[in-house]
Amino acid sequence: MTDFAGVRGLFPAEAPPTVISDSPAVLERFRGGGFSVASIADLAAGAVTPPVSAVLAPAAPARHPMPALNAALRESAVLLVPLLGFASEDRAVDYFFERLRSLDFAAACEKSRQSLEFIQHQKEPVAIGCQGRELRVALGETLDVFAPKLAPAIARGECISIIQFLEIAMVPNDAYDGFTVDGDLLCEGVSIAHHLHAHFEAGPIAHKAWGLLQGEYAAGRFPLTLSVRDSAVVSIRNARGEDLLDRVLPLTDPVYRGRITEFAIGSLDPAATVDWSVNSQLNEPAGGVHLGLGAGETGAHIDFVSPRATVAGLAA
Amino acid sequence: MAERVLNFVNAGDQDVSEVTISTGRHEAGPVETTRRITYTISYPTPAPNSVQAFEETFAAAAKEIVKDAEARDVEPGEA
Repeated sequence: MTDFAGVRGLFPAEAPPTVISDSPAVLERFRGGGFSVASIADLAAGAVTPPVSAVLAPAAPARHPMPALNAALRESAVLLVPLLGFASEDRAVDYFFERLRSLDFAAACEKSRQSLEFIQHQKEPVAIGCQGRELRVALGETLDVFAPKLAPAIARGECISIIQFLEIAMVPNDAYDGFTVDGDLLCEGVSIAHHLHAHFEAGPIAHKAWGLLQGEYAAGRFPLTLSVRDSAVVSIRNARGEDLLDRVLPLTDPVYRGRITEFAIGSLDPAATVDWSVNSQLNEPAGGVHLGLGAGETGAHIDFVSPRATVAGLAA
Repeated sequence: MAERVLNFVNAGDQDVSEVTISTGRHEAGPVETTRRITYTISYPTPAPNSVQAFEETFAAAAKEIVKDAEARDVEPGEA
């Protein structure tokens, strides 16, 4: 695949995407990659014509949503890359740029479709294994699934978050009986997110959670083992056997605290190029499965990723 | 068990509107933000998802976290 062919292919051939951001580093990086760029400020102020196709990458601390920005892009085909919700320092921008270069959206969509058909029809609990750890996820009669994008295309008037192409994610329903998780998950890395509209409230807490877990990673204390009973996390042990649960849980939202808030199947292949020292949304779907804690509203949403986990009955 | 019912939930007003798989076409609908794990800026504006409602909710929650931390003499978020 040629450079950025995957992301460019999401948009009409006659309308290559313009990269829109409030970060000079993002604009500079993508301009160097041959993309047209524009600032959020200019677009929101009407100083530039809204593009037909846009990659929108908010990265600077700001209050979202921005009504003027959303209005300007209402008729555009928009791929949202919420760097601000994860990490947006220069290293994270560079990492995202390089990962995006070869991202195969069509292959990811096909994997997502297979995963979705699997969970639609799977009657027995989903059996997940990785290096001796086993996890079982019983799926209920009614299951809430984050709406995925199953075709590698964005129409005008659509605003699609990039992760919607890259995973099949199940979330709690009203009765919290959509899925029940039991067992252990070997976790090679984490991604930590917060909602953009809650940046000034949840962002500092999410940042603290990243500092805690990145400290463990940098000290060589990964992989973690996440132990779950009846969808409640009972321990998060590092490679030395130390339990981090009591340090992690207070950094997640009070709602659903200690309970699994996401069970997802990644639609990317596990790649040697994944760098777990970067908090990137593109690490979250990097193969296997991941389990989420927290909601990202008033605290951190932490995805514990097991990229080499296999799901019985589902092709890797 | 009967055929599993999949409810597709979205995050914004310009999001995926429907998902078509072997069991047919499924429309997607909104849920409250605590169950949204797709991070977007394209939220519908009517209450209760208005910016003002968010801010009030978050301010109250943040106040609780700070109050709890003060009571335990630790930094907010510490165990």
